[in-house]
Order: sequence, then C-alpha cells, then structure tokens
Amino acid sequence: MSENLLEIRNLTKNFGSVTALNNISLDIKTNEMFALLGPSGCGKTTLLRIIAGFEYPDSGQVLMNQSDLLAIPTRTRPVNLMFQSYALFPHMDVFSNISYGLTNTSLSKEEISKQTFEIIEKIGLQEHVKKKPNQLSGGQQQRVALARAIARKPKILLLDEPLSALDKKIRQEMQVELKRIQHEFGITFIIVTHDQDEAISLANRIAVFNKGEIKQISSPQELYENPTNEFVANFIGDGNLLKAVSTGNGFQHPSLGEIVVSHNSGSGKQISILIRPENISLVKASDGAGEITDSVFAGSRKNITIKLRTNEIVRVYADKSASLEIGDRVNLSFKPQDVRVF
Amino acid sequence: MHKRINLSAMVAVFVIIFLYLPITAVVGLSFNQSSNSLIWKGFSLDWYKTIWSNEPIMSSFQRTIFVAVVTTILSLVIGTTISIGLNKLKAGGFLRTFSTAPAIVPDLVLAIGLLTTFSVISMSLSLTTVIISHTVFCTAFVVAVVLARIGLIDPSIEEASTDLGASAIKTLFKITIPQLMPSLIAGAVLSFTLSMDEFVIAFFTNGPETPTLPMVIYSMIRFGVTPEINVLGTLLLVISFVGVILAQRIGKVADSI
Repeated sequence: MSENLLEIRNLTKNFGSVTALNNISLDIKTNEMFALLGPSGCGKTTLLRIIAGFEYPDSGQVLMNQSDLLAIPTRTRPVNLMFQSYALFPHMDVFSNISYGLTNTSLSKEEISKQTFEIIEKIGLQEHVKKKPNQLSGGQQQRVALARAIARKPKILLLDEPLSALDKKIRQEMQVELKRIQHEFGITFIIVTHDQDEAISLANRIAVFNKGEIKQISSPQELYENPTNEFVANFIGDGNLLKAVSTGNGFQHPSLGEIVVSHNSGSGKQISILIRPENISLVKASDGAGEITDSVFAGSRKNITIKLRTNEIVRVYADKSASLEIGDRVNLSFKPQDVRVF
Repeated sequence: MHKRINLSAMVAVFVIIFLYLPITAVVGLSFNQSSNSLIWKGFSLDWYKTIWSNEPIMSSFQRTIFVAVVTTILSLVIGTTISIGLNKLKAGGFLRTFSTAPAIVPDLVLAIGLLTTFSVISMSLSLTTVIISHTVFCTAFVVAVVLARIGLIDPSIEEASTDLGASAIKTLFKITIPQLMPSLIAGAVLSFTLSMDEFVIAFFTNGPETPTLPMVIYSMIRFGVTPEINVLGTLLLVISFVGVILAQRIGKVADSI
C-alpha cells in the first residue's frame, strides 16, 4: 500500500491531572479514510485538535511526509477541520463561507471565484449560493461546512463527528457523499466519532481509543471478528462477554460446561469469552442452560435474550421463523472458532 | 350590559400617566409663548428660534455632544477589548462583576473618586477629565452588554477562521466583531445617552470654563424653569428617542444576518 502520510509518535497530552493522550503512536496512509473511535473523553478529540493545531502536545511528534507538522502554525497547516457544530459564519452567505479559506491565500479574486464555484458545483450547492447558513437545512449546512473545509485543498481533512447531527436518512446519503468526495478530491480523511456504526461504515481503518490509549488499530471487519482485548470486544458490535475459567485446552463455564478452544491464557485463570449473537444457535431442552426472557421481532430476525443459570445475559439472533417463546429453556451451541478469549 | 372594570388595566393606565405626565409637561411647555413657563399664554415656536442664538446654551450643547461621541467611541473600544479578553480567559464571576461594577457604583462615589484621582495626579479639570470619567462608567455598561452576547457565540467559529488561514486581526474584524454587532450598537446607544445627560460626575470633574449642557441647565434653573429649558429638554428627549429607535432598527438588521 501507499506510504505513510501522517506519523504520530509517542504523543502525550495532559490537562491538569487528566491524561487525555498517553503515549499514542499511529500511522495514517495517503488517501485513507481513518477513524478515531472511542467513548467521549477518550482522547480522540484531543488528538484531532493537536493535528489541526488548536492544542499542543506535552511530548511526542507528529510528522507529515517525514517533516514536523507541529512546527507549522495552525493557519498554514495543510490540514482543515470540519467542525461538529459546522461553525459556519452566520453573517456570510454560502459563497463567502466557502471562499473564506481562499481569500487568505494570494490567489486573485477571479481565481478564488472560479475555484469556489467549482467546489459549489461538485458538492451540489448551486441553488444555495446566496443563502445564509440559517436558511439551510442541517444536511445543506454540512455540505457547506465540507465544501469550506476542502476549498484550500488540504492534504488531510479532519471530520469531528460528521454524521452525529443528521437524521437517519440524510446520514446514509452523507455517508455515500463523503466517500465520493474523498475519492474525487484525493484527500486523506480522519474521522473522529463515538459512533461505531459511523466509523465502520465510513472508514478503511479504525483506531479504537479508551482513556487516552489506543486499544486496537485495524480494519472494521478485523475489529469485529478478531478484537484483541475485552474493551474492543465490548465496544464494537453486539457481543456476549461471559466470565469463565481457563483449562488446559479450553475453558470451563458454570452454565455452558467445558468448551475446547485454543488460547494462550494458561490454566485455571479467570478469563472473558466473546461470542457474537449471530454465532449462537438455540436448541430447546427442558434442562437447558438458559431461559428465554425476551424475544423481539426485528424484521429479518428475532432478537432473543437468554438468562443463564449464572444470571449472565446472552443475546442471540435467531431465525424469524424459529418457534422460540419467552419462558422456553434452551441449550446454546456455537463453533469453537467463533469464540474469542481474553 | 355593564362593562367590567379591569383593576390591573386601571393601575397600568394610572402608572403610564404618572410616568409620562412630567415628560408631556416639558414638551408641552416648550411651545409656551409666555416667558414664565408655568403660565400658558398660547402656542409658539419662538423659543425654538431664540435658543439657536443663545451662545452659552449652544456651545454647551456642542460640548455635550462632543463628550458623548468621544466617550462612546472610547467605551466601545475599551469595553469590547475587555469583553473579548474576559471571554478568552474564561474568566469567572468575580472578574466579570469587577469589570461591570462601575455601572452600579453610585455616581456620587464615582465622582468623588475620580476627582480625587485627578487631583492626586495633578490633572487639571477640563472636558478631557469629563470624557475620561464618562468612559469609566460607560465602559462598564458596554462590557455588561457585550459579555452577555459574546458568551453565546460558538467558539469554534473563531477556530474555523484560524483553521482556514485567517490572521488573528482578520478573525477579529471579519468574524468576531460582526457577530457582536447587535451588542455593540446597544452599547453605543447606552454610552451616548448616559453620557449626554450625565450631571453629577460632570459637575465634579469638569473645569469652570467648559460647562456641559446639564450643568448649564442646572445653573439656569436656579432662576426658575424658563421655556428655553423646556426646549432643551425636548431636544434631548428627541435625540435619545431617535438613538434608541435607530439602534433597534440596526440591531434587528444586524441580528438577522
């Protein structure tokens, strides 16, 4: 694949006694759609603001094409930010908002106007050129914010929770649109989000953050299928995390019995196991390991909740035609290769 | 059918009459032909004509407008700077209260304090000292008005301007100040009207050669209320009203952008 555009090396940032970033290292490649994903307060926004130039790290380096990005003043960094609130200039019309970044260059008026209209056309805002931000819908405002942020042709576009303020239908539209624009303009996107669906649907690669540390960096599929730790397992997708005790060649669970799975935790240790809801099938049995406590029709499937004898809750996606009722006792079956051990 | 008498409406009408009767008296008597303003002799515009040739009144009127204009400009510049600074520092309640305090300190206390200060630094009293004094309390009003607005501005709007390559100066004039415009207009009207009819502080801090209009009116009134005073009162009233109405108009326009 292509070379690294951005290299983040041992970045640390404290706010008073709070550690926002703890020795973070991370590479982002040219033309990637990269997501920084994590719960609020995990440090992802701090990293975004350091790259944009609104914060300065306590220690560590940020390199763009091998040269120090932190040495470049905020104003002239080849990085632009699309704010979560959009931060459009309320007293300027759409044209002035989008051309604002270009007016801070040495370009001639004609050239600024030409380039602005090119972007307005590519983003589909032709009908709104003279409107003020408060005359636009949320989706249109976001398009203006996006157009304004890419007008200076940055090497990296930072997007802070780009879809969070939009309703579901426009979200899907914007997802497609963001990918199209990323492709068309050839800009590397770094998306900050707390919403795993947003990250999974947009990004090629995701860095999962928690408490100022990166828990895992991989493709969305890899994060879902092979989380490397309990936090990622819990944060990405629906999953069942159960407590078990490791044995030599598997683990022992009080309700599920002994399961043979290869792992390297050693014997006799407390471990967590992850099984995804779609990987479990249910068999009715009067002496089953669990009892169905809830069953919700969800279109293509039934979402079934089971309470094990250990009082642990397990969620299972069952076929919509399965004859499973609340109160039924069931046994759970799954393939050992679908089990992840932490 | 008996009409029910609404008590609160009656009280309201009474209060409005009570509030506006004195103003009506001033305006009405300014058109009185008699030189004793308490005896109505008939309608006349004579006093409006003679007042233009009354040198002490006209020169003090000019001085007052000059003081008000300079005070307004200084208060706006200083007050806006303080507000932006306090907002950037995320200053807490104490600093905020501290910067708006001169607005609520009794005029008399402020006047004595200013007079003492000027004599300590041996600054001779003149229109300059009046302007400085008026700027002190008008700035406090500007800070109060602008601070209320500046807190409502999304801080990321200024960050966006920087992110898009604008200098700090460009961000201030192209982004921050246009956002503050309604409060700047309100602050300007407040400063102008407060300075224009201010008496106590001007009385303490002014030099003997350059009386302002309220001081001239005060000295005239010792010999009774003449129709000329009513004319002056009416003119001041008109200036204030026009200022407030203009500010509301411009404020509406500024708010809609």
